[in-house]
Amino acid sequence: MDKTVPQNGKSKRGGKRKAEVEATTTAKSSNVHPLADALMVLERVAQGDLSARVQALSGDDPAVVQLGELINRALSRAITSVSRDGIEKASELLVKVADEGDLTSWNVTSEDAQLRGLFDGVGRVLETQRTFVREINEAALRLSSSANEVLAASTQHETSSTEQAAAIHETTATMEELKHASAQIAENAGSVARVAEETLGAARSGRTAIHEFTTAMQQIRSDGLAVVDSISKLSKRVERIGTVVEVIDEIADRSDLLALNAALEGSRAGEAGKGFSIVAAEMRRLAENVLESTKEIKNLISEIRESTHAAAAAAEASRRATEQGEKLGSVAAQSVDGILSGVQETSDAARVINLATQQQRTATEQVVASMSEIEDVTRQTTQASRQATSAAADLAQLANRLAELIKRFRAD
Amino acid sequence: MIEAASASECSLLFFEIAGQTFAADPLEVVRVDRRDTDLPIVEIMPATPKGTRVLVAKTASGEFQLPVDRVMGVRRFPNSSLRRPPALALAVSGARANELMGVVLDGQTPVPIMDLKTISARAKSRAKARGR
Repeated sequence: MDKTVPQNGKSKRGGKRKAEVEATTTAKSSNVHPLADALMVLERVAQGDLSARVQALSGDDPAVVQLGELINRALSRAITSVSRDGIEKASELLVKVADEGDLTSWNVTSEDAQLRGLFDGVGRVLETQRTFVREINEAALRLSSSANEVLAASTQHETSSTEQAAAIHETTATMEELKHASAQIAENAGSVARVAEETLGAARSGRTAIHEFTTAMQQIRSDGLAVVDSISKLSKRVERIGTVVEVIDEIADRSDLLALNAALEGSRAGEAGKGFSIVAAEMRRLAENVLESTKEIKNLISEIRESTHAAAAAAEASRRATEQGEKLGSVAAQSVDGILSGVQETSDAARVINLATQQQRTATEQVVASMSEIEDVTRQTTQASRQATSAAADLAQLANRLAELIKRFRAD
Repeated sequence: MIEAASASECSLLFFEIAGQTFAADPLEVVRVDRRDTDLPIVEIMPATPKGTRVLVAKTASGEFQLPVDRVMGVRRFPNSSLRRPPALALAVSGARANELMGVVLDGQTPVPIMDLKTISARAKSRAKARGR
């Protein structure tokens, strides 16, 4: 504005001088009659062109030349007056634009072609500013609305992130407890598996022991039958020995009788039977020895018979006991087989549970680690949401500020 | 009368009844045998012997069996060891006086010598009495 509006008389005089020079140059070069030239200038002035000037200021008629000069001087004065009025009005409107932001009141024009171009340019600039102000105003309103929406969304997101962080923290704590519980369960399952394995080993040992027991019982029964058979044979042989001993005893008794009678005969023979009596006595002593021996043998046979009977009774009792033992062993084997089957299933189940709990513990630890990472990310998200909320709030304030600033300009 | 085995010795048959030792003249014993139920039994002592041996004696009426617990054999004794039966020996043995021939000293132990013929005759007289 300052460059287009003349600020002092020096600038005005400079412009006037320039127009006179241009008009003089044009008239001299055209070699027109001064009066005709004056008429043409007036015609142009009538048409609103105040820049026209009389060029033909030389001639024979001084009055015409003076007329031409007066016209030029009048036009120069007129232009100066019109320009001053336009510039003042333009200054007032520009001050109004600057102070009040009023872009709608620009209606300045000028008879001066140069000022008119300047005022028209300012008018187009203000029109462009009006357009800008309208668009900026609309954009500011939209920006404010969007900033408020962003602020609301950020606030909502921040709240959600905070709640999510709290929920994730709580979930992480729960998963941490679950991890400890899973570890405890895994440890207990491992203990159960170990105990089940030991029980399984004990049950297998028990089954082996029962099998060995049953085998031993069968062997004992077999041996017992052999013993019974041997006892029976022994008893028969003892009976046979007894029979033989009876025969021997009978023979010895007869021999004793014969010896006694021989001694009697020897005594009857007097001195001649003395030697006979001695032989008879010797025979009798032998017979008595045999009888003593057979008596001992009989006693031994009797003892053997009693022992054999006792052994047979014991063997029979042993046979019954071994049969009972075999039955009990069979029952025990079936029971242990059942126990072994159950313990086997228990051991398998414990092993599966142990494996599953190990996997569960690993998975839980992974989940805990993931939850920890999620918690970190959520914490960062919450922090970012707070920053975004703060930025959105700042943006909303800036949008409001911009709207307030734009409201200073009146474009409509 | 005990038959002398020689001029200075005699033979005696020793036997035992109820733990008591007795002797007899071998010539009065037909034989030593087992208990035979077919022969009449004559008890030397009131106590019943539990042994299986009998001394078979012979009288005019036949043979008798005299049960004893044990026959110990024929032994020779010097005649000097023979004694007449003392009253004490009779009392101790419980034998009848006429059925005791004497006593032989077996070392310091007096052993009664039984008269089997007299004893058999006792049995014979009993049989006659039962027959009347």
